[in-house]
Amino acid sequence: MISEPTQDDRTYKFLHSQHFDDVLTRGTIKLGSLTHYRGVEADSQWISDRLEGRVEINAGGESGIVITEHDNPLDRMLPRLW
Amino acid sequence: MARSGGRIILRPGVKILISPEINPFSASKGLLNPLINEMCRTSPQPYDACIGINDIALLAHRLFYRGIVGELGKAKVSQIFTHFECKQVSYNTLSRGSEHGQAPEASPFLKDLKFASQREIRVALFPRAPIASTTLIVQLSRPDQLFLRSFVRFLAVKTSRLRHGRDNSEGRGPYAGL
Repeated sequence: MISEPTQDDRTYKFLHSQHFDDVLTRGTIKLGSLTHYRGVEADSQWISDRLEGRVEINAGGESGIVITEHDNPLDRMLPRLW
Repeated sequence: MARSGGRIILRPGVKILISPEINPFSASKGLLNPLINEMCRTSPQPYDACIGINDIALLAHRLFYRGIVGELGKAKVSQIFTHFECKQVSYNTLSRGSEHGQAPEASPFLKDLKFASQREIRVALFPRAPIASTTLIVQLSRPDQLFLRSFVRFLAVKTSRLRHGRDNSEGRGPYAGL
């Protein structure tokens, strides 16, 4: 059985009018790097994020931390990679 | 010889950044009217056009296997990137202190909570090697199979009026200009 997508399933590309025909009729799309989009954010864009693809750990906090062989507070903040 | 008792001090303000590099193609997935509010009305630099994507998985496949990059000598996308992934973006707090506990793994499919209403879905392409240009223009074949005209030259009404449920009251809206 083929199920029709609900309205919630639909996907849209929002863009500026000057690029509309580039995408719709000419089939050209822009692929920026995450570095590019981080820079776009720095220029006051609203759609991108300075943290695109990144996680920022404020490891030092406001008062700094001390890592010893018995206690590593950084371990409790870093992502688990296993 | 290693000695015990050493320590590392991270002073206030020290930050650690974890960041993979990929090239994303981004779209939004969800109900059209809330997305229009987010992307075309309330944003500081609103978009004024929208294209429907028939099938994001087909677009991802076409992009990777058939896409051509003109500025790189008409190279195939699959020659520049090793693989692609297509999935919905999830949202979390990305600038984290100790009060946030364990951080999530950095991912091109993870953005900060403040962007959650954009309901982004991405095709992420993973480069074989660093790419000199930060943006690439990719030529897709048969765009008529991939895209649907939704609206162009959207005339946004002021958000203060939206709060009173009176948007489109003057015939303005997503289909203006068609």
